[in-house]
Amino acid sequence: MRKAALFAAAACLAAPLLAQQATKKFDYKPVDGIQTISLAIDQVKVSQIVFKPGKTVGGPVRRSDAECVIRIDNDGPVAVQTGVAVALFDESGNLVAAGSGGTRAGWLAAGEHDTSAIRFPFVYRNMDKAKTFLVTLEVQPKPPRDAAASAPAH
Amino acid sequence: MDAGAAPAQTQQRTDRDGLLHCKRLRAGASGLADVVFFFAVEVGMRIRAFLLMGVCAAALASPASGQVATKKFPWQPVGGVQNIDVSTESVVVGQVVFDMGSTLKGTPLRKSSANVRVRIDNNSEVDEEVGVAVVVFDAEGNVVAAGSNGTKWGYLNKGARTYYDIDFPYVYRRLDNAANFIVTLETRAKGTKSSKPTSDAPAPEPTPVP
Repeated sequence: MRKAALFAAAACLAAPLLAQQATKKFDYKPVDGIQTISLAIDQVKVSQIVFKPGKTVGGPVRRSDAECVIRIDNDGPVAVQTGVAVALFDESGNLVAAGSGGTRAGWLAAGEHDTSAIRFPFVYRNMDKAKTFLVTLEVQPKPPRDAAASAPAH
Repeated sequence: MDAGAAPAQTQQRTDRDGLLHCKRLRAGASGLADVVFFFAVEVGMRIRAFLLMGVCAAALASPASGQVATKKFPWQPVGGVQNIDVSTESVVVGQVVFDMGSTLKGTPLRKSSANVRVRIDNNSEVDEEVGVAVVVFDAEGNVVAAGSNGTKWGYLNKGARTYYDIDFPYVYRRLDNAANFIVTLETRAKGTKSSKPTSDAPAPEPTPVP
């Protein structure tokens, strides 16, 4: 019985930390494209989003250069992987743009910040009708056994 | 004499009033300066009218906002495959195939290969530009995946079928908690410069934002 309990405890400790997630809805009110928002999981924060409505490249190319750029601050004590999804809706609830961005490689070290461009290349034609947007922040902390090695050398 | 002088006086007063009015606009100016001034004012007004017409014309000729339809579906894929129906006039998204994907373990790369493949049929009589966006939610309304894809070059030919892979590279870790998803289809017919209402198509169900 004791062995089983010890095994279960060991299994729990060895299991990777589950990703945490938070979603928040905001009114679409950028000033010169910039909007301050507040979305956080523990001490990992998304505090600013910059919208760039963009236009098509031209000619037969159909892609748009519309995008938004988000800033992620890791004010926590451990390195994390992050993912951020943004979805813009018009007044009727139609989706007018959506995409995601985040950590491409490695970890966002403790105390560091990062910016990520979320592109809207294919669904963008009604972006000027956006009224609200959803931002989801997904955070996966670095497992403790590796955390010491990733501490920033300040 | 008096009777003849009176109309002349009246005419003179009228002219003077007119001049007074002009002088009120531009005190101290007279003769050629007045003519130049009136010309400038008149030309200015015409320019303004032309500008207004130009702006209206530009607004009418501006790039279309395109047709758009959004629909929400419960997450019910079987083997990843789920049949749906989102359409703008005759362009239809009829099927989505979800791939939960994976990451490259043991590498510093964090991107996931999770994606959804959407099938699009252009059943219309004209070539179309197409854009499709998919956002997947969990039961609490959190976004667990989001992305878009569409025509990169040229048009989707009339009568043609194509598939687009929409990647979910950065927000994917809770995709197994998916409860529902929304699909938006955005189309623009070749040669159209203004958006057309989708009167014949069933009205897209507005998606309640969670």
